[in-house]
Amino acid sequence: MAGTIALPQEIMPALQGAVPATIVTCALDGEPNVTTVSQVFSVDQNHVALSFQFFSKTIRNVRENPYVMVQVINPMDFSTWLLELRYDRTETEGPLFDDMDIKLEAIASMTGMSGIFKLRGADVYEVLSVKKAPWRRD
Amino acid sequence: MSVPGDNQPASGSMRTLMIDNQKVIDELNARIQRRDQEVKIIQQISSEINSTLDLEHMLGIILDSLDRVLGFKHCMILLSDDAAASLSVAALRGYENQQPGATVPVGQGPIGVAARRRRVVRMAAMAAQMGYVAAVRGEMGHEKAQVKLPGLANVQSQMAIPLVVKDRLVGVLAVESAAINAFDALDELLLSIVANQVASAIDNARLYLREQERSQLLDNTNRELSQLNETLESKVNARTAELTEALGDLERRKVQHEELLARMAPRELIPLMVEDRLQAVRLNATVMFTDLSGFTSFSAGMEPDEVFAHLNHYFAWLGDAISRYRGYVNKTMGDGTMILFGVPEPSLSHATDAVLAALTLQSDVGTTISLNMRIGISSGVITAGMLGPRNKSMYDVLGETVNVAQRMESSAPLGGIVVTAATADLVRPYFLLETLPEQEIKGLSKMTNFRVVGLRKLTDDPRRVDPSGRFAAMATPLQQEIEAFKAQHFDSVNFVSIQARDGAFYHNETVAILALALLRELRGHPQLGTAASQLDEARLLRFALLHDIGKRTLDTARLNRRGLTAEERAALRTDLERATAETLDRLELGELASALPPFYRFEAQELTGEIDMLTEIVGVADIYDALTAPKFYKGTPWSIRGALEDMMRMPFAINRPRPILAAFAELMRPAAATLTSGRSAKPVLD
Repeated sequence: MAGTIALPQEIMPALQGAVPATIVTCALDGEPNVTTVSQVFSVDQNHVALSFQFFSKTIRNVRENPYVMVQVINPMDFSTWLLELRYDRTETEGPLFDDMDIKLEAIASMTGMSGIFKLRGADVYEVLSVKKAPWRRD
Repeated sequence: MSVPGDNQPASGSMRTLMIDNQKVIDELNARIQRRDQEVKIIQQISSEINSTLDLEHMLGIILDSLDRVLGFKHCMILLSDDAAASLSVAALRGYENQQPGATVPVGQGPIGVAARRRRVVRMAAMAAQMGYVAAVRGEMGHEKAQVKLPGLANVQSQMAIPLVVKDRLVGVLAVESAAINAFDALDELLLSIVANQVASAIDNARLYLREQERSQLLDNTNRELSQLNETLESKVNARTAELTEALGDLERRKVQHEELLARMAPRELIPLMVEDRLQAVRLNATVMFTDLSGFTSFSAGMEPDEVFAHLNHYFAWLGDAISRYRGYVNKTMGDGTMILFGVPEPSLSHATDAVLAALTLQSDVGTTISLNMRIGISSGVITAGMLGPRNKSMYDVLGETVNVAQRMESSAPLGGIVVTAATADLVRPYFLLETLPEQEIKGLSKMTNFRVVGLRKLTDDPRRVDPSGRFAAMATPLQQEIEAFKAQHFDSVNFVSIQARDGAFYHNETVAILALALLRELRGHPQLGTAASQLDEARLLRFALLHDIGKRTLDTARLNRRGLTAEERAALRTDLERATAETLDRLELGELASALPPFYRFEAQELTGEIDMLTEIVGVADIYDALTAPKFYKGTPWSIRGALEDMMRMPFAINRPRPILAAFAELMRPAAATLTSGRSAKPVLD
């Protein structure tokens, strides 16, 4: 249920981009897609964001089917977390967009890629569930 | 856990509740404590930062505080350059092998982006992210080209806070860590607050530094400027000195040239001569020839240079006397001279000037050389101009008058002055002349000439001393008395020379004679006797003799000008009074100057009421002599009777009885004359 699932404090290190995350999306025709993303950003207690830099299969799938599953790893203790998400909106301005944009720019500029890694939008997802491995099957 | 009563659900839930409450309270306390500590930290850092304006010292304090108080082990402060194109590390802490001075281009890395975007950049897990970017980059076919930036080599976490004051980027505060996720939101908040303080402190320090640099620069500039000024001044001084010297040289040369030219022509003509515009003119003038009798035998046994020394000494003395009477020594011929009066500027007094000069020469020649002079004078029309071959032309005069003057000189007796009839006519009112027997002058027709005896004194003039009047009897002894007084007190004053300026010969002596006569007359007066007896006789004489002595410094042309307007006459009177006061001062008779103002007011006919006795006595004598004495510019002077009646009609005499004037008129009038008083209806003509 929206707004009821809160991200625990101990997951935060996993949302710093230290270890790439794995994301699973599904097209409308049911074909799944698994890929990695560099960082899952925390937005607030029950929202996270993904950067939208390139038109990829992930983006296309999410626009068709908002339900997504993400696995992130805490680099401090290597605990694995599984998050069920639902795509909510894409922000192209505002504090969240700026924060992500700046971080992207900082990294890109250090590798001589300024202007190539351009943030098109911050895709905001509602957190539907959070589970820490070893997870139990409900 | 086995606790008594553990099983009782009610107390168990109560305990849980209590424990939960305690947890909340502890958490709250911890948060309050942390807040409290944060505030303290910020206050501490703030006060440390603001303790200095020295930028380097301040940056050290800031970084020390970040480490010691907040626990940031690796931190650096970068300052932006003026163009805001790059940042350079101004201070750092916690880095080995790194020095201040490294630069970060704006826009590069977390620090560069923080500067460009003016936003806090908080990064974590940077190595992984960079690896990801590099991987993408490789996929895209780009070369790997990591930018070298100052900081930790193994940096994982970085926080870069822009230092902004009033929309101006001062620099960036950066902290780093090798830990993957070292900084959280609270760190960001704390550091942001500190950064605000740091930014304004740095800004103040930089402003202060810039102000110091500016004032240093200003000092330097001022010093350079004053050095320049000094150099300039000394250069200007040197140049001015050079120019002054050159100018002085030029002036000296000009004077030398003028001196040379002055040997050829009168000084006044030099400008015309230089421009070659001097034209021959005809003028009325007087020509004088002098000769030193017996000079040839006098100099017979002398060495040549001795002869020249004697003669030059004589000519120097002669030249002085001649210039005193406005004459021009035109040429010398052996021991003889030819002298011109009334050239190049026409003058009214050329004849009297010549005769006076001649009298002076004859009376004084013995002081210069023990020889006698002959002097001949002739007046009339002469032609003057430059004469002679071009390389030897001199100012010269031509005409019958010149030839006659030379004849007068050769016919003159030793020590004598002979003048023609034309000259005699011009000078007769002022000089006593002796008619010489008619004689044939070489090459000319028969002429009657005159020998100058001397200056005509009051008693030598029957027109002014009526033989029938009471004054006639006392005139001669009074004149002798005044002559003696003058010789005794004013031997140094050359009255003749001063009087020659406007032809008022023997005027001062005459005023003194008349004033003395009147004073003595008044002593027997029934009303004025006492006052007259108390008046200082010597002071009266001094004042009578010197009342217009300032004439000596006034311009002769102005003194002799005819038809003055009332204003011009008043101005002349004022100037004469001032010049007289100055001369009295020079004669150490400043005390007499106090008598000048009333006297000059009387002369201006401004006094109509009470008049002091000194003023009235000398004033009456002065006006009377002015009316009766001959003047160059006057026709026949007033008769005694005419003058006295004129005086009685003057404003001062009209409205009240003037016993002094009355006594004077009584003294001077011809015995047979009945005077018409000023109060009668009609003047009586003589």
